[in-house]
Amino acid sequence: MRYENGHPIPEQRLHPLSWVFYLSGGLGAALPAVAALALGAEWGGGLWVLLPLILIGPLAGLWHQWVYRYDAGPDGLVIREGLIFRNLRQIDYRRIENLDTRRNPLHRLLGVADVKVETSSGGGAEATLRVLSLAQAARLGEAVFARRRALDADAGEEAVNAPPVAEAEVLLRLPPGELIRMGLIDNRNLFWLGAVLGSVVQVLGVDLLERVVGPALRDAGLRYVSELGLMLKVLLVAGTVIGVLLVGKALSVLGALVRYHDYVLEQDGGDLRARHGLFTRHAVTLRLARVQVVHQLATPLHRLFGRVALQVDLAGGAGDADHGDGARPLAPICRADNAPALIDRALPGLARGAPEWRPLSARTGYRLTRLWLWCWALLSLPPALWWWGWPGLAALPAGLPVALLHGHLYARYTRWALTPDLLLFHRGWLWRRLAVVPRNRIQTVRLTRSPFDRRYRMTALEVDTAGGGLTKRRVRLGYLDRDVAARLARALV
Amino acid sequence: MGFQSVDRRTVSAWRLQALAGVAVAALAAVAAVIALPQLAGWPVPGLLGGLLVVAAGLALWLPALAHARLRYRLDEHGLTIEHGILWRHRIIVPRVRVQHSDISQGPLQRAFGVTTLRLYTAGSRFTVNSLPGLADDQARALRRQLLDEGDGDAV
Repeated sequence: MRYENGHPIPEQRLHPLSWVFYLSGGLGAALPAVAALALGAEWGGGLWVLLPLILIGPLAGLWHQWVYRYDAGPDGLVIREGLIFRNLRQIDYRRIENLDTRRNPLHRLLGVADVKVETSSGGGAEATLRVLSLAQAARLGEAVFARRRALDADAGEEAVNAPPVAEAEVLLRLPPGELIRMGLIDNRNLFWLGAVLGSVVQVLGVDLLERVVGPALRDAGLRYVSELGLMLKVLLVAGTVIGVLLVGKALSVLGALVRYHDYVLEQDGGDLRARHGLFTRHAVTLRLARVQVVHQLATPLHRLFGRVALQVDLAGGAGDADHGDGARPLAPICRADNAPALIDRALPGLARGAPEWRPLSARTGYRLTRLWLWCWALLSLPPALWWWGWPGLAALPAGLPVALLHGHLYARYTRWALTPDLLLFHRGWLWRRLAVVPRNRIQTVRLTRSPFDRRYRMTALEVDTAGGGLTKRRVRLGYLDRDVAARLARALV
Repeated sequence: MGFQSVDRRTVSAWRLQALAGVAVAALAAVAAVIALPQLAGWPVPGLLGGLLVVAAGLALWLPALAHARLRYRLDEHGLTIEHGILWRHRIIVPRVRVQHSDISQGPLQRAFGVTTLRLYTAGSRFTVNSLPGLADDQARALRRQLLDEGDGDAV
């Protein structure tokens, strides 16, 4: 580190092989040309255009590596970019929340890592150092965290709510057995697989089906699928569904095993650190001071295995590219009986004690049943009347059991509690979500009464924190009695 | 202290703004009818005219209703804003959560002597909470009361 007119000038350089990691950019640019070639465009003529396209990436990388400097300054991390248009950025140590490292197989082969510097400003990483050698990354991490601790100690911050722990304490380890369960629980692949399979069948369906199944059918003396017996048709459909399920689950299990291989969550002072990944190693730091809301999710499959998933919303994490909704997994999967202990770790000093659960308004079940019946009527009656004429009206009572069941169960399983430090909210009966919000993280409280709410003398209460923000993750207590909501709002702020 | 209404002059500002929108739409409709002779038969101009009359009526009526529903209260915790005609909202902004505030005024608002007070919090969904229609000095006084009497940590 040298100084010019009293300003720190960074001197550390990136790893000499940084340009390798810019190759992919150039290759991406060349992709259309390659595709044209593969589709039979003639070699010669305009194809010399390819060369600069491929070179753009590494040249940009070389330039970047040549002009990029970083250093740990006295007050913050200093980064200089550019030579013609210069940019000197200083990131205050106390504002640095995370130094995340990411290593894909290529990084590991070359012994380097991407280092992302994150602050709580949102909008993604403040700076990405691409790439540093492992030793450089470790030195940078040490320098940053040592100075941050020193500054924090000066300010006397955090000493109260996070007693210093001498060594990192392991909170959660996920053995392969847990990861297999996690893959079995995960349903996201199924959706994509179903969509892909559907479109594939749509495109090359009937012909291919004829060719594959045709001979077998002819052996059986049939010419069309439609001549099959009902039983066989059902079997065929069931077989397909089960096949999709099996393949989808296998993919999910594989994905979980690769992504969360050797998952370790440990506590180091005021930070939680998670490390995982088989090929690409992820190292993620969650600063406890930044945790806004802890979410717990239990799908029906989670409950079958006695597991839950835990996520936290971090302040300013909303723009993060890797976790688009600002949520970070605290535990991608954990035993249901371990979850309370982990939640307490994520919200230190905020005891939940024995919360006194309160139900929603007594009219919730009735209102939801009516809502579902209306939706059912609007969706089912037009086609039913179209096909069957007036007898189609019989479709209406068919929706009643489900509507009754949903209304009753939702009202029964949805509840909230207020403790001296926390607001807790359980929602849903099939997909059960629990949100734990520390009361001192609540920014604003919003009460809303829709025309329907007014009819049932209800109010919805929504709390806003500095984390999250996605619709699915908002903390919104609907169907509260009007006076209960008003009292709760007064208690919260 | 109970809830207070905002300045009555803001109704005129909102009305004028809404009527300007209706006027633009009316111009567009007239231009369309002139430019496309096949529309000139009676149903289309009649329908358009009817719609415009209804829109003008709403432009006169809704601002008064919105004004009646818009009220605020400043107490020791912070500012509470109520607004909304069909969906009625009550937003409670604790004063310690206010990061910074704006007092802004468009040309139309300036002509009527009203301003909008905006309070910014560090939240994620509702970062801006605005209270429109305050008289100039009212807005300044409100901001002073809100910010002077509260200090402390924000996030």
